[in-house]
Amino acid sequence: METDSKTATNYSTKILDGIIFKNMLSCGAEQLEKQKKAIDALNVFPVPDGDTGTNMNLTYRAAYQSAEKVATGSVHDVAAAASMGSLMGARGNSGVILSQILRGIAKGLEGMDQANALQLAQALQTGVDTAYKAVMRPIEGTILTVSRETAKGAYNKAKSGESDILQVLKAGLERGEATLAKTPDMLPVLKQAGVVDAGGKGFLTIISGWIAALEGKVPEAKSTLSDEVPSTVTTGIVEVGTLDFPYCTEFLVKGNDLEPEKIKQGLIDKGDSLLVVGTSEVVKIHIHTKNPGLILDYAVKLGTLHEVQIHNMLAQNEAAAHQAKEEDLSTTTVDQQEEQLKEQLEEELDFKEYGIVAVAMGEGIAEIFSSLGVEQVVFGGQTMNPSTSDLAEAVLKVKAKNVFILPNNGNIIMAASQVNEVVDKQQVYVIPTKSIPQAISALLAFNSDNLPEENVEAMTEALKQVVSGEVTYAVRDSQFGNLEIAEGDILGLIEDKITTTGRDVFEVAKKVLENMNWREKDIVTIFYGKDMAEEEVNRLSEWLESEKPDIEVEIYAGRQPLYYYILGVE
Amino acid sequence: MGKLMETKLGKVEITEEVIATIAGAAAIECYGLVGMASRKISDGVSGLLKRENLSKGVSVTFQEDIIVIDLNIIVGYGIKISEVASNVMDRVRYTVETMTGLKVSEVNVNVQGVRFLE
Repeated sequence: METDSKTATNYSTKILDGIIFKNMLSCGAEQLEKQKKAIDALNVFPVPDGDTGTNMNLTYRAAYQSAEKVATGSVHDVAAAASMGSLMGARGNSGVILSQILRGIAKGLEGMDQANALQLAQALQTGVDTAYKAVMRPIEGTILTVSRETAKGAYNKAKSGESDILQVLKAGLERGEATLAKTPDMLPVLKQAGVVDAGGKGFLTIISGWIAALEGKVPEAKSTLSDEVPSTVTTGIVEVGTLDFPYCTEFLVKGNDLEPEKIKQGLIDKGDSLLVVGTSEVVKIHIHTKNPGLILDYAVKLGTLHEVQIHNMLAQNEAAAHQAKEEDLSTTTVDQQEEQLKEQLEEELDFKEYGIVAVAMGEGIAEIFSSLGVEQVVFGGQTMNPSTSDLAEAVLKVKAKNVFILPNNGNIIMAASQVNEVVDKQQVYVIPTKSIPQAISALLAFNSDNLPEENVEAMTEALKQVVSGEVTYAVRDSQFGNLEIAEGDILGLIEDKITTTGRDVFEVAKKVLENMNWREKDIVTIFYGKDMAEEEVNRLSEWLESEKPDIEVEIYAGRQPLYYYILGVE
Repeated sequence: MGKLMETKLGKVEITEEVIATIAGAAAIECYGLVGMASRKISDGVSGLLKRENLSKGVSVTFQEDIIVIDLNIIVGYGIKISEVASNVMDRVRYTVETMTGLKVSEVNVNVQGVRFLE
């Protein structure tokens, strides 16, 4: 199939032409796509908003899609197209820098149909020089530093007489990796957070993709790229016919008050490669799914559907058409949303006494909250903290004089406490909940007959009665206290502190519960994540009941991402 | 007049100049921004004197509870201007808010020039 022609190619790595460069760009895109979540998690600088990986991925994807369309075999033509694509598609700080590096590389390859190792190394160097020109005060310890050292490593190797492009890039990567490891020493904010620079990591991820291409890795069919592909699935050849989500479904929804983030949450378990972008009036949805009908059913409830396109990615000609168009949605912004918020405020005469806003990850948890009287759920959590304005927006939607916010994460409490300054006609109270079990306890302590202050006191008091635990996995190697943690290890946390590590979810969950002294308590509450099998959950509850028959075990499908279990003991 | 914050022990006042300096320092570290454009005569003088003036091209206005920061910037040619502008806004807002504890209502970016870098 598509891959056949490419596996047959037996190219020399002494000469880089447009075809090989396209392959490299493509493998780079694959690697970046797979790593973007991990890169997001590293993002603490310049603004800790956890989007570096996503932004770089969008930028680089724009570059490579533009390069894919080049019909000639000239390396410069491909580089120039990539440069133009990344310029148009640049997103975020690292994305802009990446676009400048690609622009410089294209400049360095000017007029060349083919490039040798030294010429490529020089082009990389030009890329870095170009990138450095566009900033008044370069900050060291960022993607700039990492790319500069990578280029230097490659250039030194090429100058020493190495003519194999693969070896030259490998030398660059090696130097780049060493520099990346040193970024925490250059930029204190990285050291505090215990991470390396996210943009630098993204850059090296791309370079390692280029290297993989030169080592003969065949780019997978683009359509199978997804967030969730585990890194072990890098054998290269996709068995067409076994795609889990064969229908690429893409369309616009037009309406009022659309909430891209919420729509995203609603669709997240219905397929992969999900992309939801837009404004309150028009949202573009892109998803690979088993059943496009379900997606359209869901969306038609939100507004009107436009430009509906469904491709079966198993059919190759359709796959090609699919790939030709993944361009960004040009967003139109009108202040209608603001208008509506104002109208809502004018209706404040009908305001009731109390309303509750809570932050949750996972639809299941959101549903539980709703059933306990939470009116507005803001989606967010450890890796995606909602901002003050997200929370304020939710507060404004609750037509109540007194609004309680349950942030449910230590990192969100600050943002929540600022909401009161932003909304003027409502009184906002923040209950400092740091976990989902705490939120449940607080909600149960709420009594609408009491005064606001009494409720705050009762709810805050209730937090102390519950111990919270979590079971998740490590997204990168790290060290915590005396614990050596490897990527992929299962982590057990109590009140956000890592207390146990292991390789098995069940074992770690047991240890966490033991550390929470569950045997001395009455109720164990289990919220299981979206990837947990029911048998696995039952195994845990059966174990609990066999160990202590009079324990009360409550099990909820939290359907939260990342966390296998969220546990409460009281 | 500066911006007042009441604390239990007394008042803290932060002047426009301080916020302008913080905003300017944060802005010039933003990628894609290659200079600040000044519209004030005094900036021109200090420029001649080679004094470092981080608040160049920055103006800060307080209106009751509102802080508005205006930045006049110059960007490099060949960079997506909208993205640089939004990065500058994010960065400036974040830095000013974390350093001063004040809430920034608006960051306006006026792109006053494009500079060819080669």
